[in-house]
Amino acid sequence: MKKENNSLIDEHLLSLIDIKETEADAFFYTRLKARMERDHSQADWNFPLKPIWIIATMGFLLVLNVFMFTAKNKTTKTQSEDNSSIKSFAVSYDQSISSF
Amino acid sequence: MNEQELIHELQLGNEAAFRWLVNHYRNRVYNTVLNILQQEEEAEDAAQETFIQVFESVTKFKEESSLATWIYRIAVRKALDKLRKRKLVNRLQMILPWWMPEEKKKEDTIFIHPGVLIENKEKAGILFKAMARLPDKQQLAFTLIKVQGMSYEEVCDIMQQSTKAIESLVSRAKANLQKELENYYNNLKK
Repeated sequence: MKKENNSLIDEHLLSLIDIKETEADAFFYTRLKARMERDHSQADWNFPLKPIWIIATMGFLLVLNVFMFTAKNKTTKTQSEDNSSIKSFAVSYDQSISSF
Repeated sequence: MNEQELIHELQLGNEAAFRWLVNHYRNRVYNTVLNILQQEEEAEDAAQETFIQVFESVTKFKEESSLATWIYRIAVRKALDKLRKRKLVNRLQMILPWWMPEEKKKEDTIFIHPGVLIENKEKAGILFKAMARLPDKQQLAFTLIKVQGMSYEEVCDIMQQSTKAIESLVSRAKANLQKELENYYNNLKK
């Protein structure tokens, strides 16, 4: 059985015996140079679109958002603490709105 | 111009030397990547990328291997990158079938190698199709040795592996090809 299978491969490999080298496009070098020049001119404009830059920018924006959010929360908390101390001061000296 | 002079000129950025190099190696590089990728457009793309990398990194070339081996190594890496990308896209298509349906059709077609004689085209096409189903390294070793006609020594240098490893890859490739061809003909009988 194994022999049969091997002959199957050999039979198919025979079809490649007289395989000829394929010629690359006649204008291969011209196309290559054009691509190299195009890549070179685009390289300066492409750098902000590279994945590493996109990920870094997204990360920076995320950190900035978290920082702003926590900073805002802190401010509200201290503000509300300030308000309550003023109210208690007013109440203790009977200076609240209800006393007038 | 001998090889060392050529390398020196390339490192200086001599355009005439680069043109000579491209014209000298373009067919060999193109055939190598074509046999691996089995698609003419992708093969031209990979061949171009190979020479771009040669141009950009020739200053780092340490001459530990011959220039030809170094170029082949780059070409093979470029072809493997494209092959892996294609396989990834195919896997994604299986998960998300509505995504790029036309590309999938392309994968199902049989590759007709332009250098194969007319009377051999059918069998060669079936063999290429079976080879495309092999794991990357097996396909690479088998293609370079059996299709490209390279020696085991050359392939060892290009793939940077021992002779035993390459022999093992070729033998496993043959075993897998046996199964693939058997399946193909069994399906035809049904």
